[in-house]
Amino acid sequence: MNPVDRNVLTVVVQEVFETMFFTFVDPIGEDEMGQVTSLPGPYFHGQIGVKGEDRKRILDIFIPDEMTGSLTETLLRKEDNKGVSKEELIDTTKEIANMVLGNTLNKTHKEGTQRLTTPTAELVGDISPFVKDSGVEHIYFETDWGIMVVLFDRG
Amino acid sequence: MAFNVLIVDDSMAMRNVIRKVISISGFDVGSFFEAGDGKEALEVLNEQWIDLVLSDINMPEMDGLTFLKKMREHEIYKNIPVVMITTEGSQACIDEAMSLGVKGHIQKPFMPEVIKEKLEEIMEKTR
Repeated sequence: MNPVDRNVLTVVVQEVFETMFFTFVDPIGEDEMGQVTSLPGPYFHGQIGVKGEDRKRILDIFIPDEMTGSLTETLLRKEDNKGVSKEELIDTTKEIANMVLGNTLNKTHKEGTQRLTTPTAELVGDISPFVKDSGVEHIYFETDWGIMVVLFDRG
Repeated sequence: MAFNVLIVDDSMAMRNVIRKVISISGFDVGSFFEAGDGKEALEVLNEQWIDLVLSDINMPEMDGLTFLKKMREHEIYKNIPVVMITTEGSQACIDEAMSLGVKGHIQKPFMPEVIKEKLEEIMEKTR
C-alpha cells in the first residue's frame, strides 16, 4: 500500500463509521502499532475485492463482535432492545466492507473501470496469526470495543 | 400524491435504512417494496405498480446496471424514474448508469437529508 492509499483508506474508514454509524474510530500511528501484540477476537471479518485493470486486490476488515452488534443496532435503528440476528451482523459487516473499498476507489481511481466483487463476511476468533502473516501493511483503529483492523492490497 | 417505492439492494440492513430514512423524511410514500437483486426487482415490477426505484449496483445474480438495461427494454417499466444508491462511484460506472436514464446518484455512506432532497427533486421533475 503506498502512503497515499494508506492515508485515503484511513480517512474513508473514519468517514464511513461517522456518517453511517455516528461512531468514531481513531487510527493508531504506525510507530505505536508494535504495541498491539494480540488480537484475540472474536471479530466479524468482512472481505471484498476489486477486479479489473491491472490485478485483483482484496480488502479485509476485522470488527470486534460487540462493536458489530452496536453498529447493526444503529444501522437498523433498533429501538425495541430486541437485539440483532447473526444474519444482520453478517449483513452489516459486508456492507461496511463494501462502503470502505468503494469509497476508497472513488478517491484513488475515479477514472478507472474496476468493479467491486460481492462482499463476504464471517465470525472469526483470534486473528493475530492472520494479521501477522498477511504480508501486507495493515491499519489499526482504536474503538470503544477494542482494536479494529483493516488490511488492503492482498492478492 | 403518494408514491410506491421499490428498494433494490442485496443488503437487508441497507434496505431497512433507506426505508426508514425515507419514512422519517416526510416523503409521501404509498407502499414500500423490496428486492435483493435485479432479478427479484423485475418480479416485483411485474406484480406491483411502482412509481420510483432506488437501486444498488453491486449485487449478486443480477447487478443494478443489468437490471436497469432490462427495465429500459420494457415498454411499461422504461419510464419509471431510477436513482442509484451505491458505493460504485467510478466515472465509467456513473456514465453507464446515466446513459441508461438514471435520474440521480447517491453515494454510500449518505446523510439522511441527501436522500430526501434527491427524491423530492426527482419527483418534482417527474410530475
